[in-house]
Amino acid sequence: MKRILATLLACVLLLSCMSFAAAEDKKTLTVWIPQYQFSKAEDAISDQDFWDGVFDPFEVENNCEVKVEIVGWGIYGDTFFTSLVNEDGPDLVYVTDNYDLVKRDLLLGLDPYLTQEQKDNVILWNTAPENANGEKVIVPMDDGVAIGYVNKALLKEAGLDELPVEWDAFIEACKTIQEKTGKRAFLQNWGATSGTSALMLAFWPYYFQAGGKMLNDQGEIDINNEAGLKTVEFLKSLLDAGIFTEDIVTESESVDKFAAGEVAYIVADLNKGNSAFTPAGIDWEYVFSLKGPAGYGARTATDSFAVNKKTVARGNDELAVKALMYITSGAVMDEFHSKIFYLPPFTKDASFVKDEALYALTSAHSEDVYVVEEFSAKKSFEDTLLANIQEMFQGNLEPQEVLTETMDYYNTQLKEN
Amino acid sequence: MQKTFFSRRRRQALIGGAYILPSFVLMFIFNVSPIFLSIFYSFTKYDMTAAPVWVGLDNYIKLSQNKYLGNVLTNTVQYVLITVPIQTILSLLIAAFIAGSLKNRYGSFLRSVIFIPVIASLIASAAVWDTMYKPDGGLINQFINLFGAPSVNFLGKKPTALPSVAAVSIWKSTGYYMVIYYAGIMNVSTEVQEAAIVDGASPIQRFWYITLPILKPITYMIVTLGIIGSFQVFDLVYKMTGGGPGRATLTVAYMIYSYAFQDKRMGYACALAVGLLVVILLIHLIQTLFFKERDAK
Repeated sequence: MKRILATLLACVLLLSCMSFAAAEDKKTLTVWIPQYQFSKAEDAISDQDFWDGVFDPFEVENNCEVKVEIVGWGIYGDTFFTSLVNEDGPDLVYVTDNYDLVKRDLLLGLDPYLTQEQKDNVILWNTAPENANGEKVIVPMDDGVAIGYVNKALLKEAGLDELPVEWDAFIEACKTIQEKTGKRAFLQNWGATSGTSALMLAFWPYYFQAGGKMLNDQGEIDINNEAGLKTVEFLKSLLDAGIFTEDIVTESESVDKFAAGEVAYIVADLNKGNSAFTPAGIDWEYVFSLKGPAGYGARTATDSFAVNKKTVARGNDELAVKALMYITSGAVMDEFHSKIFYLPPFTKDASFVKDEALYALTSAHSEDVYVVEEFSAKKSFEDTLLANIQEMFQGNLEPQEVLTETMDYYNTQLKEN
Repeated sequence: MQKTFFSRRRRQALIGGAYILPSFVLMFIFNVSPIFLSIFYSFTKYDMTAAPVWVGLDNYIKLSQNKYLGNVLTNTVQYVLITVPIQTILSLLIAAFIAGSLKNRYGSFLRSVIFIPVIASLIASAAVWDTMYKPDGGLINQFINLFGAPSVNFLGKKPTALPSVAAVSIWKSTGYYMVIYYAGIMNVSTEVQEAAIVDGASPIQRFWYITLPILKPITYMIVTLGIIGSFQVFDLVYKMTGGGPGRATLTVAYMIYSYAFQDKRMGYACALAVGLLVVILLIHLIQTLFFKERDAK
């Protein structure tokens, strides 16, 4: 009996060792992706299940194991930066702010790994930042423009056929809407607790509409110019006209209020119409953007996918780049955009378009879309600008002081020298 | 004989040392060494990726030129001045009330209820209070509206923003200090109290002349902990206001976070952290002198 037991135990041990050995043959990739599934529908697939499913065939084909970790948005930028600095960071990572990563050479140069055909397939490839060797380090994805939404019922109630988009006319129309309907004409999230969140919808679009450029000839941020002043004055004129009130500095629910029919116009991401406003029974339509002194202007962001440079030392670099090109392929992204979160196609082999009207509108205005660029200490710059604009809304600063104080503080305290 | 005595003492010392060694090592690694590392980094330019570069006093000079630092220090001191006295007095009064008048199951229940905020997540608490403070439809404003008064934008106005954040902190920590005070009050000798009763002392006199002096070491500890905790306030500000409106609730710890993790300027952030450490030590010194002086009297 003892012999049988001993033999069985030995077999179990042997099998365990064999399976360990087999596992060791497999390479392991760690992938970090932020949460994108915000739907509360019961049949909505979770991010984890989606990506695990996506990587199943990849694992079989490449005899590897892919560990996908879904990371919350809260402090995603800080989280992935510190992880990439450390030795055990992910191999493949979704990147939001890339300035520090590129400057500190934490990302793998992709050019040597990709064919020209693969590069040509990425629509925004030319906008990707480069490392010191001139190699592109990310695959940029179009994060989608911030788009305007109009409540048609409120517009009609105010006796307007359509919303005028020129700044001055827009202010007059807002006054009419508030007077005739008793509802708010326009809301923005000036109470967001992060400058980046507030400004991407509530400042940068107007700055672009005023003809502003973010970076000067030296490649440094500079908004203390004519366009900057026009932008801040426009924001102040919204306050002076009673469209914004002092309470705007705590406003962070413009989307919810639009969905509740309490607001006539907001700017939000391009998913909100179909995912939030239609289900709420709002009769709405898109407006590409307001039109400032220099014309239309909407901002877009270019979040991206990148490979950790430390994969070279791990011997994972080729596999990681392969995984990168796999998840950014048209087939996978079409699935992602249809099942998880809609964004415009960012590779030429992708074809899924959720909303033809939106696609037609953004295509017609493709020249009016501007990227919010990366620069040193961007988050703190945006926090400073947000704080100073809030000070203006509270009556403590004039428009020119907002710009001067922001740039002075940035140049003396925030900018890396 | 002498040798045996020494070797026994030495053996006992070694055994004692062995018992505290694990805690000492952990405390040294996680509590003590970061202080010295921060002081070292404050004299360097360090971005977490490359080796730190010695820059001497540059970070401190730059810090002295930071135009918002005075504003931020004022906010932080105001926050400390609001939270520490209120939470200390409130916790003492509640503990005295429960220990004196509610030594039954209702007292236990009340103690538990007041302690609940201590175990609640700070971020979750901040989110709940954020909703309660809302000018349109927030619970507190609904209550205010019942009396015909207009809504108050608690977090959106400079005069109310900081006290509103401080109120959450007081709500959160009063239960913790109350439990400490309660334990202290329960340890006050009943014989002394009874003697005072025989001498005709009123409850207020007994509290003022017997209980309070006996609780002085506890009060000293609670005030110290309160000051240190309030000077380090970050989470509530991060979740509720982001430092706004404007810079009305921007605190030193929030500024340190921004420089360190948003801008990756560890050296500069460490210089500010060292500055905060010095301020806390100075206040602690003044506080110790104050308590000692009172003791001497």
